[in-house]
Amino acid sequence: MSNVQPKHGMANAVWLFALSQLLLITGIGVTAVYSLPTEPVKLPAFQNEPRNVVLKYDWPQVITDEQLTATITKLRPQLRQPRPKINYVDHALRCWGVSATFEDPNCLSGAEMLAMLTDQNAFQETWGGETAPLLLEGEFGPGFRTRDGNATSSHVDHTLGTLAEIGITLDAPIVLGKDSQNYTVRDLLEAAMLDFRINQQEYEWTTVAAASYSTGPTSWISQDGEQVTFDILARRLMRQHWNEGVCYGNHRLYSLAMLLQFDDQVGLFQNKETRGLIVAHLNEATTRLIRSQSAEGYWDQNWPDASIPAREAEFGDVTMRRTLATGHALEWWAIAPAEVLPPREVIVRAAQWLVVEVDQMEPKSVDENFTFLTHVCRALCLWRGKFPHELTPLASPSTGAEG
Amino acid sequence: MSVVGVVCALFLLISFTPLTSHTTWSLATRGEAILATGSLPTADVTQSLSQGLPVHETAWLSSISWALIARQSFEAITWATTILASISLITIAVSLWLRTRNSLFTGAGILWFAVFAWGSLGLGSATLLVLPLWITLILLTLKDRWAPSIMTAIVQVALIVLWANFDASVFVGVGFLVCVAIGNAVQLLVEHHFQSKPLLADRRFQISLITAEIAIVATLFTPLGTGLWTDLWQNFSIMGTLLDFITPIGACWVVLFAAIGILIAKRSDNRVLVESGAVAVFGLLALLAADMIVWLGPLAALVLIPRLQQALSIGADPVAAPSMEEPDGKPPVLRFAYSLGAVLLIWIVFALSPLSGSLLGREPRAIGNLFKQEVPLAATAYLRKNPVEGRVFAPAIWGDLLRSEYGGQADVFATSSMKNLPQQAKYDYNRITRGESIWQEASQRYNIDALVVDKTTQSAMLETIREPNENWHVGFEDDRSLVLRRNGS
Repeated sequence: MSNVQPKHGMANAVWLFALSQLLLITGIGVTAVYSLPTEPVKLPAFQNEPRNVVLKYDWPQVITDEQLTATITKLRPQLRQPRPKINYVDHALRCWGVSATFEDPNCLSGAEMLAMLTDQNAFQETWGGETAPLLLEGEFGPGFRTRDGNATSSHVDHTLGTLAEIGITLDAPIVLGKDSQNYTVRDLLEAAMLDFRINQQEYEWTTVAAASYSTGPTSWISQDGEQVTFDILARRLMRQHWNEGVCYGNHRLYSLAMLLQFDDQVGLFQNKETRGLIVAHLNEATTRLIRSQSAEGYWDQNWPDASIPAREAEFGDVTMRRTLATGHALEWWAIAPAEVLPPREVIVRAAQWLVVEVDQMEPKSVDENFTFLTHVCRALCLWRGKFPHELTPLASPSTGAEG
Repeated sequence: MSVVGVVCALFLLISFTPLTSHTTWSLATRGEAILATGSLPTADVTQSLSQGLPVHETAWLSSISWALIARQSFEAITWATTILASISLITIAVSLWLRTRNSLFTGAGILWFAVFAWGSLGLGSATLLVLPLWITLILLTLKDRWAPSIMTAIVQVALIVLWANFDASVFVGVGFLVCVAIGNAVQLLVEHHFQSKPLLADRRFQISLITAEIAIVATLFTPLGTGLWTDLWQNFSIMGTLLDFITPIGACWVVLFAAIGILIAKRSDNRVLVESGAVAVFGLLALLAADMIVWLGPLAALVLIPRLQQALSIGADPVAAPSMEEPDGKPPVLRFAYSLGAVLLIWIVFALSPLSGSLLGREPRAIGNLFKQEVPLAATAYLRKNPVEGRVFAPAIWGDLLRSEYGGQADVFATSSMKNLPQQAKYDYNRITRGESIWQEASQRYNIDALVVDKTTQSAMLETIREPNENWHVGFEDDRSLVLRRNGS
């Protein structure tokens, strides 16, 4: 039997076949092109001016005006010295903000601290030309040298987080050197986000910076190709055991509280469940803190469960540990929603313990624990409804420059 | 009778093949996720660390099928495996017998298929579900002598739609139909001295080409839509694991090309070239990607064995001289004896197999007999009874069972789908497995509350984590595995 059709119908059949081929091949081709994997947009749009947390509490019972003035005066940034630790400058700038000024000539103003961190020329003036630069050009753009000695930042993206928290706009300049191309804070932020991985060791400050400049429930693509949403970041922040991570896990709690505030402001989360999970997580942290608070008011490294002995710190003494744990806890509570706060008495006792400790602290001790004390200083101001810079310029203490 | 014997022996072998720790459990976990949410997951649900990395669920129907089977019992999985594998085996056997009427060629073909397919066939896998579809597709093509009728074409397209919903390997079937269309075109061009007009007017060519094209379009009829194609673009690679010739599969591959050589040398018509060419294409692909062997096996057996018989001029089995009463050629008593013998053999094999357990009132097999020896059953049971709050770090190959609803129910670090993990997690997995001292730091970072160590293959890791540690303790240990738990977890 022949497969060839009769002649009279052949021409029609061939045309029909040709038409079917045209349709099928075109359809397959178009679909194939349509289904080609598309490169996702790696970075979202940002807003130039970072959003900031709104202070909702002003509790005079926590600390009186006089106590606050005395405490923050003692903790002012007396960093006008040769080669001030960059870690200290970074923390001081975060605490005091860019507009802070001080009568004490030993103190660096906010503007001076900002310049030291964002202008390589200003950094070299203080640290000398032989010191390795603080600002570097990396694979994805500019960044800060980190965890490499006194002339470097202490944590991944900590300085970037500082710039975001003190309100530096994305178009603010970043100067890497005399011959370097012009960079801005936007370049810093983009480089940090592209270099990010969800499972990296320190991720809290990248979260803070990304959330501060975000325009809403945005996401970006990490170095590993992960789509990083604020929901995923929130889960990452809640993933580890309570006191694991930097500063006994407190920066994770602070970041979560901040995400909640920004979610209120702009709707940060894509998943409605996330907010409830964070609130539950912070409530659990609060419950543990209430249970483990000492009679004096402080917490220690073992804040999640005081029945387990506190672990010795790699450096610093017991006071350092307690100051760290207590100051940080008061700081994240100060920006957290009321539903996760402990009874007022818990906060008052903790704050009063800090006031007394700071008052009794030797200048050497203040210097050694300066970074942790900036959190104490900031926390106590926040509980009075103010950022520290709003209380400046601070008068020099009448007793001299003992700190 | 000998063919029935070979099939029965293979059936018995399949029915006693123990389960492994992966594949089925991974599919079942994915199936449970689909059933729970009513939608296809967009991330790997077997590994929580894969969040943020998009994946396409390309085996949704297989996943649901294995989830429903796994819900019944472990024994149900072995039954399903046996039944599915037997369907393929019996289809091949019957088809070869009908085409050759020669027990030697049929038996050799069955064994050839079994050896070819067995090495690559994951028990309880998506492949096992679609293998009967693949065999049917080949048989339909052979039935119409590589020139599908419209009805066959419709059935072939329907098979492709079904296959596309079972597994992304559907493109193998589509590729085969494209091969058939190209083969027909080449044959017709040769026949008509490379003139295109007769080719275009030929119904055989038209139908085979349109069938191949519609089969391509048919792969879009899944819940993924164009996602299946996108997944193909993303994961397509002609290169995979190279075929190892020092294995039974490698030997089968050599036999395959020897057979193709014989067929070409003794070709009786051009169709032999077309058919051999299609098998050779699959054979060469299997050389570069050994996973292709599972598809090559049935194709080689069904296409080449009858052709070989023809080429070697070997006829059907000799039969007794036909009598006037029995046109079939066998005396009635002998035919009855053969039938009775075959039925008896089938019954004996069925009775011996675990499949008959419930029917004959036998006790179900002990769980230890259901699984391969290297499966960490005791550690799985321990984790199920003593769940940990955080993540469990275990060998990825054990991860599927440890993660499974029916296994350890643990949030594992990695499963056999480790390719879906972010790069850093893979890197850290390797470092911990190598016994590097980062395991404690990584345990904090990934919230790992338990480590399951394979004592046979992870000696370096075992040595590292055995060092005295105030934060961790041994929760469980047997000859196969050790479970280290974080204190208070």
